[in-house]
Amino acid sequence: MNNAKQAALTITLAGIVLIGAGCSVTPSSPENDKAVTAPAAAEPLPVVTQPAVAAPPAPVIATAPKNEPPKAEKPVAKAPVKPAAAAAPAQKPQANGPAATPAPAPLALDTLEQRLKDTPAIGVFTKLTLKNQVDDLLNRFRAHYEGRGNLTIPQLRQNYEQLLARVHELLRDGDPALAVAIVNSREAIWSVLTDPAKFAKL
Amino acid sequence: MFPAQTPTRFALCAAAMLSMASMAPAQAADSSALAKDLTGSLAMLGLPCGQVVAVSSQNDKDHLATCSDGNRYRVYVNAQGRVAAEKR
Repeated sequence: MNNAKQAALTITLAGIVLIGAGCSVTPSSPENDKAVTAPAAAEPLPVVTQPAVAAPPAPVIATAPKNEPPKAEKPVAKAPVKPAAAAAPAQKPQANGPAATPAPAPLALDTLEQRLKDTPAIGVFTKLTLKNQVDDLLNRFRAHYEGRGNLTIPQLRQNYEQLLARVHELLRDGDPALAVAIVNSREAIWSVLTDPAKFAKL
Repeated sequence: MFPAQTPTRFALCAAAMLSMASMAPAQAADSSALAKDLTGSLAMLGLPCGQVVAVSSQNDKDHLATCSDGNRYRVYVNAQGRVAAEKR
């Protein structure tokens, strides 16, 4: 009996040791090692070398353009034509309603701002970049009205159209309703920007 | 040599892989969302990039983005609260 108990105890202890060994890395089973390392190799972020701390010789810093229109504006400037054309059919289904409004009313600026803040279609960095660029545009208008700006109204309009085109491009897939709303509000916003009295109240 | 060990080992490995697999989609979603966010930010800045395909983060406000066209940018929020991008 004692021999049998000792044998059972020995087997139990051996089992515990073996289970523990199974969790550790054992050189005897390369196939199992592959299975464990495979998920680690499939981690989502590719490793990028990090020379971020060491400054490069001459980094080009690009923030939102402040005073001059960016050079890459010409290809973007074509974009507003398409949204305007695309917005027209989108208005027709709503025009069939009993109210018979020909087009959705332009959004108020504060409503538009809130919807842009709330939309999940663009992330925090994009929203902050957009805010920077809206602030820059407003500063250009402010400078224009104060007589210290070097941009004319047609140039400001070009800046404005480019900004709207970029916003539309960003929202087109993720929040098409807001994209259309912005396009529909284009002239209403412009009328506020170009009216010194209304602009002063912003 | 010890056949009884194999099921136990499989169970342990499976548990480990399951726990890792459950974490991977969340990380992938975060990474994908950040890549999309940086893509939008670089587009707003008018910088050539295409799509951001890889991101290495220094912290929440400082990322190194690798673009599909081969460009790499450090995208960060500077002291003035502006999003800035440096070509690397």
